Amino acid sequence: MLVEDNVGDARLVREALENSSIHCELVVITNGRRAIQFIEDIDSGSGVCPQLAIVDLNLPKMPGAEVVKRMRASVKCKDVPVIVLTSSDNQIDRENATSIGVSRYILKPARLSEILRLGSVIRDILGLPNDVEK
Amino acid sequence: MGAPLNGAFLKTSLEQRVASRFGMLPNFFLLSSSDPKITENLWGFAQFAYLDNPIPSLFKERLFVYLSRFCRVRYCIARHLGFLVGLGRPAGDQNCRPQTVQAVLPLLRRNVPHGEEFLPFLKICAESVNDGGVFPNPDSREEEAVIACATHLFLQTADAPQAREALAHRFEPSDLEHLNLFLTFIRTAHYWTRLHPEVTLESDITELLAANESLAEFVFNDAAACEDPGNAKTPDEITALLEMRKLQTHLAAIVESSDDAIVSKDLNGIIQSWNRGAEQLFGYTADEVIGKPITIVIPSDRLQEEVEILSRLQRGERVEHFETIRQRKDGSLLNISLTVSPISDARGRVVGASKVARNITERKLQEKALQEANEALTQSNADLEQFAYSASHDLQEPLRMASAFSELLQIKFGGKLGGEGDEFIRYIVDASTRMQQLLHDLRTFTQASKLTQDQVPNTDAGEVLRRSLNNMKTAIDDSNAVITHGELPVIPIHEFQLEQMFQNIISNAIRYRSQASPVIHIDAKCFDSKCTFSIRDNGIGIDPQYKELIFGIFKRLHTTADYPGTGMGLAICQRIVERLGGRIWVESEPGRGSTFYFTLSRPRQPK
Repeated sequence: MLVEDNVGDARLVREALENSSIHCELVVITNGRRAIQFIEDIDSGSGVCPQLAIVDLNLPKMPGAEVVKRMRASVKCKDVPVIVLTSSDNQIDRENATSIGVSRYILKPARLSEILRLGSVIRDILGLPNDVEK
Repeated sequence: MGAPLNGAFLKTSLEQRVASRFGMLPNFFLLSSSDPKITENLWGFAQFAYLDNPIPSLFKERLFVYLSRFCRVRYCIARHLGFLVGLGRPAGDQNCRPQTVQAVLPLLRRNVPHGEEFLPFLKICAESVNDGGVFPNPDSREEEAVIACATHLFLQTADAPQAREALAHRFEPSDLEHLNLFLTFIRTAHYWTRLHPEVTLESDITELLAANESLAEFVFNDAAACEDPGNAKTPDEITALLEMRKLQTHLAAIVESSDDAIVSKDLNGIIQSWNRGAEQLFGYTADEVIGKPITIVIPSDRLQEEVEILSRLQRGERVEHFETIRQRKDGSLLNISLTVSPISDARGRVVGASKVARNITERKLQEKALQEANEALTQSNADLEQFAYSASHDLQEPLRMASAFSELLQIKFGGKLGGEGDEFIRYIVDASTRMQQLLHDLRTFTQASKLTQDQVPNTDAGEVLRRSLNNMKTAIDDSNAVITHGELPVIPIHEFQLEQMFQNIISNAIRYRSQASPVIHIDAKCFDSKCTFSIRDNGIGIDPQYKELIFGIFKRLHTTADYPGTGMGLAICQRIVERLGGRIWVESEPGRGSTFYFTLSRPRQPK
């Protein structure tokens, strides 16, 4: 599950996953409110929890932090690992993310090579061996 | 000084008699102290020839005043002027009404007619009907004629015989004899004062003259009219009075012409004087406010101030440049600066206060406008910096996309677009990277002013330099640079900012090197409250005309291809230093290296 309003970033994340040979279904949700709806739908029985959530903090309609909190409060998805992927270098955002149970806080990288490295981070979190990486 | 009419001060019975006749004791009768008989006889003569002389009192006194013009001692004219205007009694006659100063002035200004001019007056006397001893009225043509004739007789001029003849025609023989007797006494009085140069004016006369400029002018400066003006003597006292009068006139003119309000008040706060400046400032005329309490110009919520000012004055203290608010007649308020000084009498007792008030309303308005403009400017600058800070952040976002996708394009399609395709992609990647660097530096620049406003910690510059050099290890090793430094102080600055400064300036020194390997020396010298850092290199140097330009935002002297960089390094340095109250500059000679200097304040409490 990727909560990201910027389609370019979404495309880059998909690129990173492909690059690290992570074959998965990527659900892209482009605003915070819809993401919360998605979690609530799962709690009420429709659909299954994602294996991993990648959340941008600065989202339309509802901040990413609220999405993370809702996830942590979810009956079914409370243990799903969450990666925050943001362009905010703000110390307060970082501390806040840690306090609400975010696994990793990653600044949106400027260089393509750094973006692609995101794939291996994800493999780590999912417990996949990293030797597949090219 | 004339003694007042007060039994306690009158020593002898003679003095009492003289004083009761004149209504005051003239100094004239105090001149002979060795033999009281002389004064007694002089007094007897004065009564017989002057006071009890049957000629009408007003005529006698006017003639006495007129003829005293010709005495070089100014006592007689001054004293008899006094009698004439009511200081004492005219000719010792309590039934004679004194004249006003205005009524006396024409008499004083009247010239003695001579030759042709005198003839009409002779004629008036010669042709007048002998009317049984009635003396002419004051200021009548006939009085003028009689006084003119009497003057010629008195001064014993060439026309004296005709004057005597005319008067003989005008008066009964007994009246003429009384007139002659009176002239004789006036002569005696003049002669007596000339023999007694110690004669002084009585205080009532000095006050009269000090209050009447035209009268004083006449009394003191009419020496030309004397029989022997060359020897005219102005007593020291009169000279002093004249000088004092001049000074008073001068000071009064200064007070009157001052734009500042100058006001005096007594210890009860009652206004005693009010100059033109006060009239203009407060809108009240002097006539309206003299005698009124000063509180009429004090707004009701500030009345307590006056109580405090008065109590300070009573202790003899001065109130200086006290800025407050006062009220004009029309109710509008004024900002004024007030200086209040106690006024003491001769014995040193505080009897009142002088107040100088300056209108500072305009100044206050200007100060306010300036402060507001300053605040607006500060706010505007802060807004602008906030904008630049946010903009440099937000602009990074789309740029990150452009940069990432152009790289992705190169990875996925590199070599498939033909040679030109690869080249174009490279341009996009380079431009994006450079743009990112520019935005990063711009953000650093705007951050420089944000941070320095906080409490600035003391930083060991030597330690920071070592760290900076470590950060630049690759560049230093690659260029074979030799970097040395002197002892560096502890100075108030954020560590990372000093690090930025060292790195920016040293990396410039390495980047803009000449053929030779860079040799760089960092030093600092502290005097008084400031430390001046210097970073000297042996690089290509800077043309003096660009000495200022290089500190501008995005200013570069070379192309990116020749020397990489964003043109923000020195702008950041300047911003950091200036925000800390310091200064940065460069001294250089092209081809012979540059030395960058910057100053920073020393810590207030050195460790």
